[in-house]
Amino acid sequence: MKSTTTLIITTVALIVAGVAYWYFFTGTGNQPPLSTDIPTNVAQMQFETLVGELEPVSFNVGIFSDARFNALVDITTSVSPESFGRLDPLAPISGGSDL
Amino acid sequence: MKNSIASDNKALAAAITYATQQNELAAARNAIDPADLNRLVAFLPSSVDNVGLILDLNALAARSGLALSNIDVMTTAVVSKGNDSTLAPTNPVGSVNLALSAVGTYTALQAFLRGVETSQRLLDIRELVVKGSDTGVYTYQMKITLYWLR
Repeated sequence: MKSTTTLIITTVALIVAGVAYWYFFTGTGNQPPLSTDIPTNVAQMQFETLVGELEPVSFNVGIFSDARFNALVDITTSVSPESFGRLDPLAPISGGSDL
Repeated sequence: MKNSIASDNKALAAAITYATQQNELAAARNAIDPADLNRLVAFLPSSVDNVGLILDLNALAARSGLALSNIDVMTTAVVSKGNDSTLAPTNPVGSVNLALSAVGTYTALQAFLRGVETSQRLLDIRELVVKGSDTGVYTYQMKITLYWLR
């Protein structure tokens, strides 16, 4: 009877030890999942969406050969720099000593 | 891990697409004659520069025989494409209204209007009110819209 109990306890201990070895040392029980759901950056998603909406752009340079555009006249007035006036422009004009 | 790599590859492909298109646009822009580009900038400048334009209009009026006065810059609302201004992209072309008064003969007015019409800077005369006179010198009130690229 005593030997049977000892045998059962030994068998159970071996089984527990085997399970513990398998779980902790073989690495098959606690492997991380192969795929994880990493939150994608919002700015990255927005950039990818905008790039996906890009359409081919081309410049229509026909305006440069249009006679109406070429007939337009530049009315820009050149502004020449002026020299500084008197230090006190409100002072009465006298002999020019305050220039 | 695999998802992260796929996401990075996707972002990298998008960046390459963006850079390629940017380079294509830059190459197309560089292929345009700089003189033509300058004319285009004068036609639709990237800033309002209403002070410079007032100087130009004043000089044009003086050459035409008109005397300008009471030049006023009127504020205009932002024009947007579509009904919802918060979501719709704004119009890339902005506009500012100028109200001004002028005094001169009809011939001078004709010359001034011709100058505005053929101006390289895009201008529109929206309103023109003429006050009659027996002297042949009339008073004009105009509203001119000028445009610029935002």
